[in-house]
Amino acid sequence: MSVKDQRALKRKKLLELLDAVFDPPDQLADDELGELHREIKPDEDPKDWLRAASAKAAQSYRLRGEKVPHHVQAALEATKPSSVEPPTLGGMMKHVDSLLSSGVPPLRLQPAPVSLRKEPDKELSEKDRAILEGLWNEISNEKRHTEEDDS
Amino acid sequence: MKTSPKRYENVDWLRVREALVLRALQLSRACDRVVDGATFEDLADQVMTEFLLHPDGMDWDPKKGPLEMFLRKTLDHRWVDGWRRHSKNEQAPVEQPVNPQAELEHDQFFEMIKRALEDQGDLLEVIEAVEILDGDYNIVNQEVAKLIGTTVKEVENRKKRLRRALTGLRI
Repeated sequence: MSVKDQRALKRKKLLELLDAVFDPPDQLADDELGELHREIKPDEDPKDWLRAASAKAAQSYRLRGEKVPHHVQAALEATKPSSVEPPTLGGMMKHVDSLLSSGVPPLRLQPAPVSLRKEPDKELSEKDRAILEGLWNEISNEKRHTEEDDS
Repeated sequence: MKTSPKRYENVDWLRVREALVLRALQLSRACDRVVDGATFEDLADQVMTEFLLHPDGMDWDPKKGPLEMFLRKTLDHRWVDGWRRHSKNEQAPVEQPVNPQAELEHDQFFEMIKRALEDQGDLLEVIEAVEILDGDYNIVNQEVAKLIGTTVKEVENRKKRLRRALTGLRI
């Protein structure tokens, strides 16, 4: 048996022993698992970590012009921040009304620097279209969920 | 493999992350060179990232059990086979030299735990009973309870304390 195989066998046995003494982590109750995680990584919110990892993964799919797969979408959806209420149209209108009535002067928008202006004769590439389509789908999904939540 | 959003409806994503971090930590305690020089966080992160970047979610099917179990087993397999750190762009794996000295640490793992728990006889009893079972772990809690003459509930409580001892760095 090669050194590599011997090592693999030893590791398998150790895993069995670990599970027998400590039980596999996926079999623990939610409370205990959460508690142990907090003890191991007190500065990490697992939800935030997952949100960042799935957003990064989604971006890499979009950059390749690929559709974001269901499992990544599901992870994004499940880790959506819940502390901030999603904006509703009614809420935004109320905010605009209150700003207008409070006498806040309108924003003076500066023209974009030349380098940032869109070149009117430049055609969108297939990759650009795929990225825009992906973003559009995400916004549509977000809007749909917001409307569902509102109703 | 075709996937659908329905497949992921019942996934508890927090449990997935938490179980991976806990397992990676356990392995790092068991073998100092668990991930060939990288940290236990690297191992947990790598498995989750691999899953997210796989277009079909590593072909996980709920029929195979919960996602946290599937990915924990994936992590175990990576570790058994000798984990290799991948470059950022997921190209060729970077080979790490095998340190034979590190392998000795596996065998010493339970000796180390026992030394750390020498003033907690009831926890030591559980470890020693598991060792007596010698690989026959089908109904481990019942067997351990029988061996040390206590109830299954009591074995479960002691195991809970053992888990805290291992993760809470009290050893």
